Amino acid sequence: MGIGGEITMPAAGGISIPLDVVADILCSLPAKSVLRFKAVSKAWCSLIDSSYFARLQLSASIETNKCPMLVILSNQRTGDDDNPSLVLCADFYSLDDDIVEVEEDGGASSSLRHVRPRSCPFKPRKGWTYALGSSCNGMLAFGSYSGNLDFWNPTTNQCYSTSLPSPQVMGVQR
Amino acid sequence: MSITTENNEKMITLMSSDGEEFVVEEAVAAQSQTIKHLIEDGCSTEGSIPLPNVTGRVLSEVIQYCKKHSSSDDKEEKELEAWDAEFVKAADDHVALTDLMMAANFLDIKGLLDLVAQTLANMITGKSPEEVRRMWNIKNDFTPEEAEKVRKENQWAFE
Repeated sequence: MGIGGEITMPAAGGISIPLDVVADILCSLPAKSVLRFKAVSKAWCSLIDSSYFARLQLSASIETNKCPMLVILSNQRTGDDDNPSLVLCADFYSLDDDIVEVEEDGGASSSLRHVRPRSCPFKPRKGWTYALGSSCNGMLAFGSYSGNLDFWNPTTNQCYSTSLPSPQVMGVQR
Repeated sequence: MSITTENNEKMITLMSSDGEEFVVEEAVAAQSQTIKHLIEDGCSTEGSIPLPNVTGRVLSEVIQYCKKHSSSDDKEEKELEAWDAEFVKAADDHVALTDLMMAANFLDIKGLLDLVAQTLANMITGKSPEEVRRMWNIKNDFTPEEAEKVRKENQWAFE
């Protein structure tokens, strides 16, 4: 069984690969490889950016239980008592129930697989408190008492901020 | 054609794209959801089931996999894992694996699809986009500016 030859050799006559098969392969890859392969071609890039692929990858991760990972949320360590560094360490898919504070982000980073340790892109202003709101499908949401609702995907480091439409309705007081 | 063996196992005939016929037990063939549905729809009662997307060479590998997985019990899980590892090792390059993957996709055999997908994923995980393009003859259709933009947006993935 099988055809001989080097893995990296282009096949004589060539073999092409349909996109739905590509999606199944990319599902099994760590985020870093997936993001890198956006540079393969426009079709691969669109596939990886698609909500179809996001759903496929999420269900594959949950199914194989491969994804639970530690996420460390660390604000800039300023040494300023009014703006203490916040380091949270949590299981990705049970963030709501299982938040553990750790002393050093460096100490826990060795547990991170496939994700480089990174700081939370949202920096609370002096005196503001950040509340870790919730997680869903690998995204984290933060509410801040300044009235912002921030979303962050720690795997891809993409973020999105929005203002709370009505603090009263949302039950958040300024 | 539908025949029955001494063990009362119903046999069905599968025909590859290049006209090769394979007679297998129904339980083996039904590991493929596609074939299972064809059988349920009565397609196996007259003659063989044609599989126009799968060559005889690939089909014989697929059948080997299905036979192994239909005869094994759960208690043999470890042994089955070892067998799977040998199975994909034998299809020793990405061309054979891609053929197998496309067949598993068409025939809808989840276990085989996952196995081959993981093997191909392991093969490419550390590769550059250029190496991946070479593997599957993919044309780089980005302009240099677009390529730079994708790279910049995902800088850490290229480090």
